[in-house]
Amino acid sequence: MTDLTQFLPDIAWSSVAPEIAMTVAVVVLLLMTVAGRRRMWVATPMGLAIAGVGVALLVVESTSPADPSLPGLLAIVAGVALVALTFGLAGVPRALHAWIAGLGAGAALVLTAWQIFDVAWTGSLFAASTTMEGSVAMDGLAIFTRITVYLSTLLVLPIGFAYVRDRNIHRPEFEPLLLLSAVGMALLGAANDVITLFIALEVLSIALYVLTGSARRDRRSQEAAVKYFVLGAVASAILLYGFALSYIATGSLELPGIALGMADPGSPLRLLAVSMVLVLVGVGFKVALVPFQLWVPDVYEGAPTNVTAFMGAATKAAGFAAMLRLFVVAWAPLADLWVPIVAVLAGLSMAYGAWAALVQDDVKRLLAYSAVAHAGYATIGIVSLSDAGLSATMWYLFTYAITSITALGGIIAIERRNHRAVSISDLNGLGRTSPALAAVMSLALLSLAGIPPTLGFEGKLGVFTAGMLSGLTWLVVLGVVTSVVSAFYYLRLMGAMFLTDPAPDAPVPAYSHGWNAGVTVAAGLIVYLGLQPSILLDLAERAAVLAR
Amino acid sequence: MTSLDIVFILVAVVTGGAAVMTVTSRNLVHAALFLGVTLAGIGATFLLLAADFVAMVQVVVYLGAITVLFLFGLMLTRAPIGRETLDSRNRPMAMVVSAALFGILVVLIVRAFGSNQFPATEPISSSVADLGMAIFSTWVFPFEVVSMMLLAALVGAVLLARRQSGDSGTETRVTPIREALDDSTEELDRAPAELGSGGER
Repeated sequence: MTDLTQFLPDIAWSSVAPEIAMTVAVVVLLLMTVAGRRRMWVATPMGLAIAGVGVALLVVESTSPADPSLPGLLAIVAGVALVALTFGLAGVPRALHAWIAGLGAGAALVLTAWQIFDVAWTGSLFAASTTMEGSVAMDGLAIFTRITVYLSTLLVLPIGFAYVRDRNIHRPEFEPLLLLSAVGMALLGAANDVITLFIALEVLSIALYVLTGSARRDRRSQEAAVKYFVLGAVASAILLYGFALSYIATGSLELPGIALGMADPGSPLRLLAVSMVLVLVGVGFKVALVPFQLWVPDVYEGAPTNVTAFMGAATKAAGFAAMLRLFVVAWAPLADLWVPIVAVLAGLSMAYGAWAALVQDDVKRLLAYSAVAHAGYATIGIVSLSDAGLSATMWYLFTYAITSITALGGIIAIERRNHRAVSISDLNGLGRTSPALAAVMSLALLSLAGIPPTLGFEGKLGVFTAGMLSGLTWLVVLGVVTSVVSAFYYLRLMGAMFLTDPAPDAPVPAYSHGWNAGVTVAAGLIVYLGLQPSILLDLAERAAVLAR
Repeated sequence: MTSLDIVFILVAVVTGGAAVMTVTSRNLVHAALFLGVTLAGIGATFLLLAADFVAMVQVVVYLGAITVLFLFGLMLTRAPIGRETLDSRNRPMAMVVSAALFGILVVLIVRAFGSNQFPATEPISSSVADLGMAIFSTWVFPFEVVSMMLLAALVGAVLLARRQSGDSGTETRVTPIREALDDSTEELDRAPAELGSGGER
C-alpha cells in the first residue's frame, strides 16, 4: 500500500475565496428554489452553517483579538443576513433571490479586497504566485478581473430586477446562472493552465447561452441564444484544438511551461504558430474582435437587456484577461509573430465597429458595434507588450464595464415602458420628458466616446499612452480617428435626446428602486473616477504583475 | 508497416467515412447512427494508443449516452425524421470553407513536423489508478470546476425546458413549423402548436 498522503494536493482556499462565496450563494439560491414556501427550513440551517464556518475561521485564523480574520467576520455577517433576509422578505421570493445573489456578489467583492490587502500586497507591487498545483494564478490580473466582474454583477442585479419582472421572464434559475457565469469569468481571469482556462470559459459560456435565451417566447432571444451557442461551441472547439497542438509542441499544459517549451530552440515553431492562430480565433470570438464579431449584434440585440449589460461588461473583462495571460505569458517567446497579427485585428475592430455603428438605428445594435470597437481599443494595451499596456488594458476594461452598464441601464428604463426594441427615434425629446434619465444616458455616452472628464477618457488615455510608449503610433492614430468617428454617433443619440421634440404619445420611462440605486452608483463611479481616477488606476498599475 | 499501422488505417478509414456520412446523410436518424459509428471509431483509436480507460469512457459516455440521447431527442421532440432536406443554401460555401480549413491544417501540421518525427516509443499504458491520482492531485482544481460547469448546464436545461404559466416575452407566438406532411398522418402539428400557445395555464 503506497502512502497516499504524498499525493495530497495543497488547497489554497484564500486564492479562490471570492468564488467560494459566490458558489455558496448559488447553492443557497437553488436549494431555496427547490424548497419553495418552506424556504425558511433551508435558509436557517444554511445561515447557521455559514455563520458557524465564520466562527471557526475567527478562532483558527485570527492571530490576535485586535486583528480578527476578515473572511470569518464576513461569513458570520453573511450567515446572519441570510436568515434575516429570508424572514424579512418572506412574502416576496423574487426580491429575496435578488438580495441573496447581491449578498453573494458583495461578499465576493469584499473578499477580493481582502485578497488585495492581506494576501497579495507587498507594499508596492502585487506578489505573483500560483496555487492549486499551478492551476490558479494569484496575481494582479486575476484580482483586477475579479473587481470588474463582481462589480458588474452587483450593478446588473438591481438594474435588471424590475425589467425581467415586467417582461415576465423572471425565473428562479436566473440569479444562480448569473452568479455561476460570474464565477466562470473570475476563474478565467485566474486560470494558469489551459485546462482550467478552458473549463472556466465553458462555465461562463454555458450559463450565458442560457441567459441569452431566457426570454423563451421571444424569437429574437431564441435566435440569439442558438447563434451564440453554435458559434461559441465552434470557437471553443477551435480553442481546444489550439491547446492540443501547443501541448504536442511543448509538452506542457501550464501557461508558464508552454512559454518555457517555446523558448527551447528545438521546439517546432510552425506547429506553435498554428496553435497560436487557433487560440487567437477561439479567444478572439469571446472578446469579439473583427473578424470574429459576427455574433455580436444579433446576440446583444436579442438577449434580455440586463443580460446584454452583464455580457458586454463582464465577459469582455474576463475574455481579455484570458487573452492577456495566453499571449503575454504563454506565447511571449513568439511575440514577433503575434504582435503584428493582433495589432491588425485591433485596428480592424476599431475601424469596423465605428463604421458599422454609424448606420444603426436600433440602439442596442449600435452599442453592440461600439462594443466591437471598444474591444479594439482594449487590445492596444495587449500588443503594447509592456507593464503599462497590461495595466492600461485592465483599467480600460473596468471603465468600459461601468460605462456600458450605465448606458444599457438607460435603455432598460426606456424598453420597460415601450415593450419593444429601442430605436434612436424613441430617444427623441427625452431631455424634456425625463431629464434625469437623459442626463445619465448622456454621461454614459460621453464616457463611451472618451470625452474628459469622464471615466471613459481615463481609460482611453491609458491605452493610447501605452501604445505610444511601445511605438505603435499607427494604431494609436487609428484609435484617435475612430474615437472621433464614434463621438459622432454617440452625439447623434444625445442630439435626439436634447434637440428634438418628444413624440406626443411618448411613453414615460419606468424606474424602480433597484434601477435607481444601480444606475446612480454606476453614474457616480463614472463621474467620481473620471475626476479622481488615482484610487483604482494606482491599483491597476500595481496589478501589472503576472504569474510566470 | 506494422500490424498496428494496418489496424489503424482500417479504423481511420471507417471513422472518417462515418464522419463524412454523418454530415452528408439526409436522414437525421441515419446521421445519428453514423455519428455513433464515428464515436466508436474514436474509441478504437484510443484502444490502439493503449489508453484503455479513455476508450471505455468514450464508449460508455459518447456511444452509450450521447447517441442514445440524440435518438431520444429526435423521438420526443417529434423532429422531422423523414427524408426531407436538411440543407441550407450555404451548403457549397460551407463545403469550401471546411475543405480549405482541412487542407490548410493538414499541410501546416505535416510541414510543421517535417522530417523530425517524434521518436517511436512503445505506447505508455496508464492505469486507472494513475489517472485517478492525476485527477485528484495535480488536476484537482479543474476537476472541481467541472462540477460547476455541470451545475450550470443542469440549471440551464431546467430553465429552458420547464414550462411556466404566463411565461412570455414581448413577442409571443412561435409559428408552428408546418412541413410538407400529408393530412392523413396523425395529428402531427399539435405539438408545435402547443409550443406557441403560451403553455398550459
